[in-house]
Amino acid sequence: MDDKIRIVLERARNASYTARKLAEKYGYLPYMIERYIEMLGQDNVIDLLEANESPLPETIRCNDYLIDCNELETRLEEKGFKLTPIPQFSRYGYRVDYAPISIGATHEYLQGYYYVQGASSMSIVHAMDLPVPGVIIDMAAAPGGKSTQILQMTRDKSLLIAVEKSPRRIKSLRSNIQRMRFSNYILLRRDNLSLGFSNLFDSVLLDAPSTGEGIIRKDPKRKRSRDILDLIKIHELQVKMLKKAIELARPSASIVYAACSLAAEEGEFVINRILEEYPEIEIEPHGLMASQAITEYFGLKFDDRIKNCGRYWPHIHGYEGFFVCKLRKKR
Amino acid sequence: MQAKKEKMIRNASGLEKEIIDEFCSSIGVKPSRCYSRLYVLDIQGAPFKDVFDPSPNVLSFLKDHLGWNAYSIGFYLGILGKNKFEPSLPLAHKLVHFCPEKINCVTLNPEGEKYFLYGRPVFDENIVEYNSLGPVLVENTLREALGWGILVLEDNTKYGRRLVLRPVKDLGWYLRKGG
Repeated sequence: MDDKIRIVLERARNASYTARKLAEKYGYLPYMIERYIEMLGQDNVIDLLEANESPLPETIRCNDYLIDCNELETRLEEKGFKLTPIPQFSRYGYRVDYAPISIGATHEYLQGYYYVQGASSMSIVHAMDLPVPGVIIDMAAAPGGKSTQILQMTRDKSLLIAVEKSPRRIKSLRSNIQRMRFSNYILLRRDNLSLGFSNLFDSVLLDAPSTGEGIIRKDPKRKRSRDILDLIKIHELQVKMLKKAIELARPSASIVYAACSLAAEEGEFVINRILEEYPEIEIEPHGLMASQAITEYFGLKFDDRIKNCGRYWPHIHGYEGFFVCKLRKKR
Repeated sequence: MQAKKEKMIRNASGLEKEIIDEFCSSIGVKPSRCYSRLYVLDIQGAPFKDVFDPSPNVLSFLKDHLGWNAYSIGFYLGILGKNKFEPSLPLAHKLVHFCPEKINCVTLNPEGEKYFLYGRPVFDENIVEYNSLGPVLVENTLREALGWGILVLEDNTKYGRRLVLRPVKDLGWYLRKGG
């Protein structure tokens, strides 16, 4: 295990009085609040915790491969839905302000005209290089939000290799790709760490498995479901997966790393370890409206290049918390 | 049902091709309009197989890098049983623009569309037009594919002789079973 993360998490474990009081009030584990205070400062932490108390707005991504998005908007509005475009996240994105029935049960949904997807989540694919033609890999693909977006944005002309280990989740992935009518794909039911390719892919997406601290608004159980040891395990897994992503990418290809989490241990810390080990990796601006990633954490100064990575915060950007970083393999 | 595990993908045999061609002919469409290439994925312990029409770049990646092993690939055509082919929903979308002149189709009104997408039979009052009895592609009045069905004339003691569309596979499957 990396010594730095152990030292940092020891500090978080000794939560301050304020952190313990806030943890008690909002129902979190104290170490989580201590970390948020470290990242945001005390005033902003209350804004974050309050934002996490309100439900996550529902958002959809129009599939313009099948339908003109204005036509979709009209069709859904005729059925009583109220939609607002969210171009700051994606030119295909809409917030559902009012839904007379479940947004996932309309005939338009069954036709594959849209995908129910978080706003921050749909922005991540816009940070990717999407060469046409090309071979792109989504290393943790289910349930298929980003995979279908990659196929949509490449007009089904670049080959997508979508990998998912879970037998249950790969079923949703397959169903979503077929519902949205894409065909230029291969699904692999494998552990992505076991993939035997190297220097092969033109673009790599790793939306890493995470603690899900970014979607506490959707799943409040996550306020207490992961302890420090879980966090360390997930961090180690994310580092391993990102190393595999680097191996998979061909020289000069980009790798987009994302995690649906507020934790620095799942974002900046992961990238910092990679930059220490891989001189051939460079960080590029992601081009999204996310806030700058943090540069210092419990006295540890991260590699300065990490300021080019980004964070979505529920209290600032209004949707799921996410970390995103665009890496490039120079040789 | 589609494959649960990664398996070896192979060329369809002559007999398998014959069964699929027969289905295409039964709905009035030339096999060349149904597919370009036929590849089959055997499902372990099941009496049926998945059938795909993969693009050349899918095939070359499978051959060069995966030793023909995958969980699912390319355009999904349907399920092949012992002597029967059940067409997929993607195939309905692919062929719908041949309705109604070049393929056997039935068109439903919005009420009929609702019943059909719930997997229920649709009766003649909700059928706008049709061009053949038997296996049909089902569409709505916007010419959007809804799935596959069997259109029959049935004798009913209350209603007399009437048209009934029995669902085979409808888009509601994505909600009910798609995961």
